[in-house]
Amino acid sequence: MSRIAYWNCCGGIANKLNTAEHIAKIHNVEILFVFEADCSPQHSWIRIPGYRTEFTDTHIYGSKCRQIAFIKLTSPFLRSRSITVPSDLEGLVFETAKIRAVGVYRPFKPINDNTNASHFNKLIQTLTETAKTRKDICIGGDFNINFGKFSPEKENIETWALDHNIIQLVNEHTWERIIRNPVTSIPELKKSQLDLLFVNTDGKHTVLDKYTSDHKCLMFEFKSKTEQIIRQKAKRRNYAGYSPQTISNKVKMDIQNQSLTGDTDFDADLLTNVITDALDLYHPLRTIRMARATDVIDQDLERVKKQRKRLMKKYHKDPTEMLLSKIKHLNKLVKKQINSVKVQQLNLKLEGKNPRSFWNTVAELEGKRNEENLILNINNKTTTIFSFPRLNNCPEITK
Amino acid sequence: MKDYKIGHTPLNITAVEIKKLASKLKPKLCQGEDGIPMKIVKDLSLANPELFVNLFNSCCMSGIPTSWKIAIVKPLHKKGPKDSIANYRPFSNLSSISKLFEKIILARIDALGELDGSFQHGFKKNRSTTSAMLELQDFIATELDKNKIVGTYSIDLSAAFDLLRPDIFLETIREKIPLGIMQVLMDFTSNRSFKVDVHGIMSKQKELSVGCVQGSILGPRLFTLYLSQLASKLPKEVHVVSYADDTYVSTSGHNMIDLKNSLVETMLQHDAYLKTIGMVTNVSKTELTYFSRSDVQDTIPLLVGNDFVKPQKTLKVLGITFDHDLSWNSHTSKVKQKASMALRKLKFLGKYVNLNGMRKIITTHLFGMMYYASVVWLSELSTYKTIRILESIHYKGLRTAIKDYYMLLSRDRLNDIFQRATPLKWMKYATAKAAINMLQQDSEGPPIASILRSKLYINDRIQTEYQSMIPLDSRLDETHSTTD
Repeated sequence: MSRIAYWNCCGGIANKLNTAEHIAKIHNVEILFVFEADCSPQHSWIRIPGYRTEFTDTHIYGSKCRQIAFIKLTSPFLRSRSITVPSDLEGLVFETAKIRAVGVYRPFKPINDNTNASHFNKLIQTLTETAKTRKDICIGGDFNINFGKFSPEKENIETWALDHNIIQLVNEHTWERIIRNPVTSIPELKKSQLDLLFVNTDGKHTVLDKYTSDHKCLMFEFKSKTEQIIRQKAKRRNYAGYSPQTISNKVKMDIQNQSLTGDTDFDADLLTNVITDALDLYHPLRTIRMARATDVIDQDLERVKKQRKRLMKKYHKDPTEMLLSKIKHLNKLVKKQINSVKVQQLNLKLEGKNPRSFWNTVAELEGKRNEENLILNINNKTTTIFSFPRLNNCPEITK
Repeated sequence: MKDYKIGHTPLNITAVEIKKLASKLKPKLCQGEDGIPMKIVKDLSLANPELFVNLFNSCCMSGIPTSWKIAIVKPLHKKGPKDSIANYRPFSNLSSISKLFEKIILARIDALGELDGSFQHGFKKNRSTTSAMLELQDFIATELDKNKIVGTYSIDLSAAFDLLRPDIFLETIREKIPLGIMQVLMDFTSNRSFKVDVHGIMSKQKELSVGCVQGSILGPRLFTLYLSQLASKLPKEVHVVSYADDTYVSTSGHNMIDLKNSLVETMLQHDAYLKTIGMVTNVSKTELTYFSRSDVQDTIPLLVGNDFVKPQKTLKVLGITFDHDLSWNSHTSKVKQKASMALRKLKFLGKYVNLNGMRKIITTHLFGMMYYASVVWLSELSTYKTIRILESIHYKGLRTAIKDYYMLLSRDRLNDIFQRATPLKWMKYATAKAAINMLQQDSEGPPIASILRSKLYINDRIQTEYQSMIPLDSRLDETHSTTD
């Protein structure tokens, strides 16, 4: 079962990383969308062990990220930047070959604003056009749609939805709206806010009552035909491009054709040759070695480096000032990203079981002087003084 | 030797056995001669163990293939300038399929029981350096209670692992091990060769006639089996404890003269036995100490054969120092030096690492070093001085863990925050854990478990007290043994 969870943390994730970790770890969630996170990509310490964080694009939605997502390191979901969520709605899109998971957050707006449905329409259209029903879709989020506050017609969600043709849209694309009522813990807000889950596949949905801010956590778990493919792909990425089952089947087939003789020298050579052939055929050994050389594979760094390479090639053909400025900007980005990767690698060394490597890294750090950019977090956990429960009451520290 | 011929008894290796043992292999990526990493062999054998069944069974019947016997030796730089060869350490890579085969043979040998003697603590389940030290300490303490003097010495073996002779080895284990495994071991140790690889350039192949197989899974076990007859070759009163190639032999006597005579006898016998095996000993490097209640120490050197052995006041045993009166003063002073050096460096780390990380680092790298083998040298009855020294460093460490450099928090406050703050509680936790691990494995418990029990004074309360003590960090126990 793979699970996707949506949670509104209500005003800043910084203090609530422990609860986010709790949701992710206990329910074994693949992706956890968090709304009202109020942070920026510079806050590199916002992490959960075993997960990587994805922030919304700041150049589209503004400097503050109101939405982030935690993704399991082994999960097959990849972030897709080809689909752009309309700028009024803040969105993150992740997808595999078969499934697309979308988290949408609409910032709170004045009551008179009627652009809700139109933007929602746009979002659905863009998603459907790109997907073309090839993929299963799971959309969830905090839409902050104002309804039922003043006019009695809008007391019911369904009537509101009918007004804005949302149900039509949903029916057209054979989507199912799972959460039919607003999910809030505060009764005053009960009719003013709306969390929805639109889903295209068969699955089970649950509302986790334990995690409450002013909303409750929603979770959707699905077990479709695609799950098997997802698992296989995840495993392959884990091994950096090889799956043991396919190779073992190939080896078995080859050995059956050439039966063993009984002379062990000959048989051993035959087996090793067959295994190496199978490995070269499906996934070359080179990729496996690569994975070891760089323990921390940073996707953002690779992306930025590729971009820079492309621009450099262009610049060599016809040098312009525009390109130069772009390259300079990218250089800065690369430096930043390399710094973050360094931090990750230092973390790995400090966490490791080998005491010698630990003391070596300590000696390395001692030699450096201006390292304000490096903020190390062991196990990617963030703690403040107040995270020690008994220290909260300590008067000396609060001074 | 000539009685054993390959092709007699099959071992009947099954797919279930392979799958079970393959799960225990470490998925490393280094490669041997065949170029297949261990990770892939593990995955293949878990996915489809039947691939290897026929090959392994035929290996038992008609010999191990020659490609499995070739080791590739690579130099690894340790420290210092890279020009001199002395700064490099060689390590050898073997074929990874052969390692899976070795794992099966090792499991078969382990099933036969404790063949390498109860005095051996190395490469065994539920045994460690601390268990070896405990046994030695227990012997010395009981003999001192009888108003006796104890003399212990450690013998220095030079390149012990590389001097194993296959023909003698097979003679020693002839009666203990059944024929099927015996044939495999004989084939395994014979006709070995190696190549040296420096940056992808290979040397010529050369033969190896002597030595344990470096880098193999069976190697350490073969070595302990090789030295298994040591206790039987020495006099009966002598007490032997050994961890891999470090052996500590101790005898006791009412007089100094009796003790010296017996020591010289055992040393000569020990040396003679090692020479028959083929080991090279260094008598001038042997360390000797007399344990006694009196403060007066004998410093007259002993004449053993043609060499002199000079007695000293302290004895280094597997990382901790034994005083001649078991006071542990020299060890605590060493611990103090080490720990204060470490604290100075760790305070610097506070800039970079947050509170939770700092707490973990202090528990693993400072307390792990301080309380290494604390079961042996720290107890409720230890002197006021040692506990005071330990406490002063301990609370400094706790303060760095919360970045409380200005001494704002009192000791009671620290004790509240960290539930297991005082050094004695740490010791208790370690002993309880060690005892429980041993008792769970064996129904009766080895002799060391009883020592632990008497040390703790908690026979029945042991379980409840252990559960009540919550460890600060679970990683502590793993690094406990490696931080020396």
